Amino acid sequence: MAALLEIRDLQARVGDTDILHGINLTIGAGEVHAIMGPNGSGKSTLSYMLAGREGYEITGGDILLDGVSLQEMEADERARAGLFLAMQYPVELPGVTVMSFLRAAVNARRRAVGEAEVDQLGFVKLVRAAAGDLGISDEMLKRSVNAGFSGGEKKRFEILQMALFAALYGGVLDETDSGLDVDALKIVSDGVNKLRDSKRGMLVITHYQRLLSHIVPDRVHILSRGKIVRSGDKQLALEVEENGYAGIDDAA
Amino acid sequence: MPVLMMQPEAIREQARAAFAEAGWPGRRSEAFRFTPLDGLAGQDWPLAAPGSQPEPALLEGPRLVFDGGQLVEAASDSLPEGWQLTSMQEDPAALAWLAARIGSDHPAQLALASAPAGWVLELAAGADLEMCLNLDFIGGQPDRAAPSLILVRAGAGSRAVLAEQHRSTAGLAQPVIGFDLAAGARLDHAKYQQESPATRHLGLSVAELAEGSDLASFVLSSGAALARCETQLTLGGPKASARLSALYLGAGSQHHDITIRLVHQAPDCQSEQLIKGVLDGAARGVFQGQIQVAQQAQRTDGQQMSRVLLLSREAEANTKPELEIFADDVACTHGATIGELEADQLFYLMARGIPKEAARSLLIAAFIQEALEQIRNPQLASWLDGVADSWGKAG
Repeated sequence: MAALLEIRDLQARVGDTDILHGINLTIGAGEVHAIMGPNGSGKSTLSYMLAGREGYEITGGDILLDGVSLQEMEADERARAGLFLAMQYPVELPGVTVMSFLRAAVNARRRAVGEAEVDQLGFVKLVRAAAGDLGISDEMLKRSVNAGFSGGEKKRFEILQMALFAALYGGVLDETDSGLDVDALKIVSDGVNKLRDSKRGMLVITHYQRLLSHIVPDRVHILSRGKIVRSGDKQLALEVEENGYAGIDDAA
Repeated sequence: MPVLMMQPEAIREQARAAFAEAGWPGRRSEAFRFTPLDGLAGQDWPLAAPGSQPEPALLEGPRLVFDGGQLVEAASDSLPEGWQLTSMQEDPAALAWLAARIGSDHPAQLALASAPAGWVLELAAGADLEMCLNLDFIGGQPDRAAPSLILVRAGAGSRAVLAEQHRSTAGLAQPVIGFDLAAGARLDHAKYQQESPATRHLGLSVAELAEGSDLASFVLSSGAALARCETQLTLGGPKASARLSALYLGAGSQHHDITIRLVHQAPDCQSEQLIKGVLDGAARGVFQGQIQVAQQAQRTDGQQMSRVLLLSREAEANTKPELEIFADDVACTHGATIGELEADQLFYLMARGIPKEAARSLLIAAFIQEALEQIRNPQLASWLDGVADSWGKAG
């Protein structure tokens, strides 16, 4: 299997603090991996490193997307290259309507490859159809991005974006389960599972096991203090659920 | 007021004396501390010469053209029924109304002294005019002054929409405009200052609101080298309400000043202010907002908010909110923020594939849009709507 996303001995620093101490992870096409870890283990830092947030500095190692290093690429270039980060805390953008935001994001992709901008009417239809599948109302589409959205609405909107931008290679889902009730979790998981295919890969970052019983991973990795301390199949997630992170942490 | 009515020439003479005495205010003047004008001294500021070619109207509706500050009747439309235009020469009370409301050390005294004429726009009681009346200020030369004196009198229960478009090319533009709203009158007003890069704009609006009257005013200031858009407003009768919003967009070495003095004189009145500014390059922005609530103005509701977005390290904003409350039963709030674009928001947009510059433009346009949403009248709103996009992209 070809490596879709390859994280090679990744070391990272935020400000003066070293957060990641050599992470190795390879996700093949069609695979779903999960990273679990307690608070402060470096999960969010890893997701920002992958997405290319300013201020998150790679101090060693590399990240390759379909064989191409992401190191020199800005966040927007990485996104257009096919990487999608579903955020733990989607940001509110008062005054930027959902439709104009989605159109700007899609047109940025089209412009980058020399295609014409999307047809307005067709695009609205496309968005509405995709939104309906995720239980997102037309009324929500008229609001400002994430402004006044409930926790569940925010996460559903993240998955809508992931579907629309047709993440070429796949997505990184950062604690997508936080703030979701059981019904919302089901809707979000179904949305994600629909995007699973033989070409895309996904990395699901979570603190708890419950998301992984809906989005069943091929591999599970435990992140602790900036290192992957154990890897296994989905059973590992259940083990964490049972015993907590304490035992695993000690083994590191 | 039981005072002797002064004749126009006497008022002008008094204003000349007042300005000669006070001169241009410098840094020591509290009211002009952040916008000193002593740089304007040393020039005589002769009146602008007429003869400018009127530009196409940008707004639908009847238009009055002011060239170098002075009305050009030949270039203006006739007014629809309900509006009446009179010279202040024939209505000395109008000039006296303005003169009585301008401080003796205020530079607007120069406009009072030097404007060769003034006009009264009278809206008949009960008139209800949906179509916007457009005051279009054009023309003038870089070393000359363009003063204008106008009094808008809205009769009891009248409704109207008024736009001021300032695209003067004079060195000094000094529109002094009074708004005298009788009981129950309702006026929607917008002022768009987009003057030439060399113009100094010193605008003074004086408004008095009688019982149950209602003024919604929006100022957009994006032109000129230096622009001070000053409003003095008195809620003089019970249950009057005023919404004063402003947006300034500064780039290069521009200086924008929004100064508002709002007096709650009567009980049960409401006022709302949202002042926003965007500053790029080495531009400077000033907001001075004073709310005074008189002792008898019980149950006052007064809100003020100012927000400035700084797009460069060299840009600078000064904000000075002031509340003076003498009544005990009031709900007054004010707030002020000065900040840069949010890193979280930029990252979110970029993580969706939107390049940094486009992401910045989107956020700037959104910031501007919130101010434009204050415009209550749809015709005025659509007039100024395109501004957000074009400036966001340029900035």
